[in-house]
Amino acid sequence: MTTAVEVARAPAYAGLVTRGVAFVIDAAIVNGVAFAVGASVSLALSIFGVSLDELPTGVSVAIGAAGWLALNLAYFAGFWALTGQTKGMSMMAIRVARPDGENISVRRGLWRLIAMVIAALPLFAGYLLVLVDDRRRGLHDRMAGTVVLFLTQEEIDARRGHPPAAVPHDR
Amino acid sequence: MTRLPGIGAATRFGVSRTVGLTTALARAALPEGSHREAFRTRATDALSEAWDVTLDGLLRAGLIERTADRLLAEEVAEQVFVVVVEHPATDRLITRVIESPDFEVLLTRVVESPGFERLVTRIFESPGFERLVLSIVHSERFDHLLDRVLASEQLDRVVTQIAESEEVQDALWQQTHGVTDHVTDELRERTIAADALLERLARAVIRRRPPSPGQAGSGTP
Repeated sequence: MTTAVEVARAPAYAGLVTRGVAFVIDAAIVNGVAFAVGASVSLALSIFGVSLDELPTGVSVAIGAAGWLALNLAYFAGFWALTGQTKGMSMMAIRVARPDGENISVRRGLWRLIAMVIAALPLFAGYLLVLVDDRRRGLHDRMAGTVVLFLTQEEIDARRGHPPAAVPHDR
Repeated sequence: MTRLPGIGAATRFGVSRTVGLTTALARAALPEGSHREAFRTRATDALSEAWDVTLDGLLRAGLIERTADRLLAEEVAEQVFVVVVEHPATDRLITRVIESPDFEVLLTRVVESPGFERLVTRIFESPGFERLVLSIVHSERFDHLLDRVLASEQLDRVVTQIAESEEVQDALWQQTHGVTDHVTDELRERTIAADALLERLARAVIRRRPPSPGQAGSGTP
């Protein structure tokens, strides 16, 4: 039987909309960075008389795809492993963690990112599992063994540099 | 330089000597020590009462409005402004008056007197005052003075010091982050509500029971 204290201390798992908004913010950041890097590289190469347009289409696509993939891997897996949250997740006050609440490793982060692609393949049906799972886990969360948690009010206040709230607020 | 009509060297000499002689006589007649302080207090009280009575008289007689109109008609206000601002003795006079201890006491009493409040209210509400201020603000001299102030290095230093002060930067930082935090808090509240709504709909479609308390998004973030 679940007691009142256990209910109060239960982790609040983030839902589909909150996670979706965070992902949209992250996508905007990653694409903005990719555009800035691409433009900078193109501008720098133009000084040496080299134009990306002169490269064969296959080569330029391969370079662009490799750069974009590396950027995504570094951004998502790096942030998940280092701080548990990307910038978009930070804005929405959520974080990725192992089921016991600890931060995930880089390896698990890379696997989660690959699993996100797999979850998107069947018309994003893998993400709809979030709606019906008791811990709001999508297919990629199940594959990588992760959960997405809301930050507690104390954690939010600490990150904003505010003094802790007068009333303790357990997750 | 523009001169005020009717105030010549002889008049100024006579007034300054009379004031100086009166002050010297008063000092000689007064005893030293606590008696002098007591006399000073009584004199300040008497001045305050006289100030109140005078203010009431001025207000009743409508003298202020009439004086403002007359000053405007004769363009005296602008001439006085020019003479006062450009005279080299102005700075010294202001400094001496402000540094005087009696000035602070007298100013406090004057400001706290009910007559002063009535006078200020009446002055600000009078059309003559508005015309007087507008005539000064629209004068070329005022523009010139304002240009000098705006072009001065001192003003640059003051503005730079204010902009670089920790208090101002802290306030700006807190205000900016306060707005951002408020927006993200609002957004998060709405997405949390949308999470719950979508989840209820999905569970209703597949006829699945809602999660037991203590699971899913039951805890408040």
